[in-house]
Amino acid sequence: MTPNDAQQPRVPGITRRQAVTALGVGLTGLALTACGGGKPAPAAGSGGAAAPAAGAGAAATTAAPKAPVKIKHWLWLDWPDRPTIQNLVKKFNETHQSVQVEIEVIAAGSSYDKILAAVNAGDAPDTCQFTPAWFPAFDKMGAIQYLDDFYKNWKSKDGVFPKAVSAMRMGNDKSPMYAVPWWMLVTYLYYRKDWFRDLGLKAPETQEDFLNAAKKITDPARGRYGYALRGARHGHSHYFMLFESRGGKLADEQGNPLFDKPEYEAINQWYLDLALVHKVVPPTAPTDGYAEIMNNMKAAKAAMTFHHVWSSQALMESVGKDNLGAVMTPAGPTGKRWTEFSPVPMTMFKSTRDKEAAWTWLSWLLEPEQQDYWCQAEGTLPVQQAVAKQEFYQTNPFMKISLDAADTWNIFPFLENPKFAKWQEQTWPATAQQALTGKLDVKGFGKMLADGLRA
Amino acid sequence: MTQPAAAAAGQRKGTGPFSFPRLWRRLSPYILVSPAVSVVLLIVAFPLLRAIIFSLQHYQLTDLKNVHFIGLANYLRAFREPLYWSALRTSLVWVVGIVSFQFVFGLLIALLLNQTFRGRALVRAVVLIPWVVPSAIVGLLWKWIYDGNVGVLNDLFKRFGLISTNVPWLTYGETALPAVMVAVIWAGTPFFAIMLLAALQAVPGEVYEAADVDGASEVQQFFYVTIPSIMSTIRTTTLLRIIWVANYVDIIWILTGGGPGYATTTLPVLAFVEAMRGLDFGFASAISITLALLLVGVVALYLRSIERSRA
Repeated sequence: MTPNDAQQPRVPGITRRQAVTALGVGLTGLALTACGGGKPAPAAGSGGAAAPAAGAGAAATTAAPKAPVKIKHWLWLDWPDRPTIQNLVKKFNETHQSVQVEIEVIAAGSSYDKILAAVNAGDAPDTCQFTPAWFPAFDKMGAIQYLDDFYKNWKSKDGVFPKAVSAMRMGNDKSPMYAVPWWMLVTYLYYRKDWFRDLGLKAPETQEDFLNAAKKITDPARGRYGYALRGARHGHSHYFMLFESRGGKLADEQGNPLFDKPEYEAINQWYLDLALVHKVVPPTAPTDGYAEIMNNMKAAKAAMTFHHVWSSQALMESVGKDNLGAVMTPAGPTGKRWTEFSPVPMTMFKSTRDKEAAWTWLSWLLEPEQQDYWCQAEGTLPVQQAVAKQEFYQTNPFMKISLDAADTWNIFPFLENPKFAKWQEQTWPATAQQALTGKLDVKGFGKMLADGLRA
Repeated sequence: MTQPAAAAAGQRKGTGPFSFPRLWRRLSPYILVSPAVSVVLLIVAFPLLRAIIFSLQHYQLTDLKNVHFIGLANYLRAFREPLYWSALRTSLVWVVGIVSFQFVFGLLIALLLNQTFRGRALVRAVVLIPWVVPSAIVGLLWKWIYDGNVGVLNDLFKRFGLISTNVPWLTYGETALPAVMVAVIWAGTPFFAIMLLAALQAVPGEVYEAADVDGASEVQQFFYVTIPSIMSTIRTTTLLRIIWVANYVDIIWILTGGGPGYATTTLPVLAFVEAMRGLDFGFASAISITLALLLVGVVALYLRSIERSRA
């Protein structure tokens, strides 16, 4: 007992330990209550039927002028400094008195997490830019409003590229329509025209041309390589195009992966040999992502790479307009070409209170006039066929190549697989990096890729 | 005077069992510590409790309708995964390697800065730069330095004739982990240096004078005077660095994303990937809890060794 203890009267009834315990329990309970006990609130309206607008009943009884419906739209922008979407929203709001749109630009890198968190918190936007690979996850949560009923009654639906519409059903015509296509991108092969010309090479129309050119151009002493292969995240896009064009089949009719089929081992080996045997890719290729492959092209380190029209401007500025060429995905030995086709969807959430108003906004954006304005300003491809035939798109060589490849457009066959989102972020880079550095043989490469998508 | 009347009189005088002074005396310690306790409960205890609960549940962000208790299944899944054990090994190499080098370099810099020379104040400020640079910038900076095609490191090595062709530092497992570790060693060494410098400056000059008089050489003075004098700072700083370095995610993520393959995937990176890419908060929490338990074990052993050495 300390001297102070001795001087103070002993207070009976409650010990210090009991008080601290009680305080702790009380505060923990308070914290749990404040945080909703950790149980997420279900998304409003996730049961299916639309909840009536909160103000609708009040407006009816007081007969006051009906307030415009507010639609919250989320999207991400590759060039946030361009006012294209703001101009479109302004025009829409000026021409639609009963519906007013508010946009929120979210960061592209964290868009999935943010939308997911918002849906789980019951605070999802009404409409949102999306990615087809996200459909299964959000559909499983019951968050996506199917748009079939709206779309079938829409006057301009027949003008949309059918493949873009099919992608909104994840390539399965029996599936519901999870979104509408807003604009699209098509991957093709960029190549250095001047280097090809200097070496007397023809444009790489076939995989044989592609490999021959890559071998002739590669000169490690000069730090120059034939092909900027993308081994890091999203590099499966290159692999899928080369694999399918060479005669492989990524998935069967049920969507099961076929990378590890013995008859496709030679195709996988051909792909890996680009790095392991022919060494026509930069030594960094296994870990190169988008930034690195673009830097390799811009810094005259690589002659060819796959990407879409959005990189054309930056590449032309770096290597010179006349030195940059584009061809469709090189054809395989049987003449088959398989091109990655990426329509960018806009989806509506079930929690949207006024779905008609939300559809008014989405369908307005898809009308030819708005399509043309957006695509010209942002340098993308329209989903409306009539717009795509206009001079602007037909005279731009990179857009023309994208559109001319329409017969070979394909979406990834695993969009309905709930494991695909994680596969493309995690399984692909880890597997490809090991195989492209010789740490994993061709059998292991196919097996790891396939196992990553199997149940 | 009857008993109730006496009690009432006592209350009026402030001496009854529920009088304000007595209540205040009894409750004031708890009231005064309650803000601090609340903060600790909210920002430490509650998240920790949630993580433990998550780790015992099937808790996937894409499947929140199906959250349910699964006992130790997430832990068993982690222990069955070869990737978990590989990440644990990488974490061990990561922590031991980085903290050791940071300590050695930090001590050397501290000894240097403890000398008197012109421009010492400037050098002391400059030495701190790597520590004050945000880790995201450190990651981006070293990513460019290591770039296998246009990086300055390859350029320098080629100019000095050390290599003939570019080395893809971050592409191969053999070089990727050491390369990331070098970046973190660079960023964290100033912390050791400054902490040890402060401790060195607190060592009284008389101790060295006495050692001189006793005929101790400089090396003997270093090992028998300097090191024992700053030992408590070394212990505290090392302990802090072990905890911080073991939890690193950002620089690894920026430089390699845990690759190539899984060569730079440590336990925190694995937990981050499972949570943010796989959205499997239950599994990610189980990995995090095992890391926390390991760290608690390391800290307990460390503290026990300190107590023993003091005794």
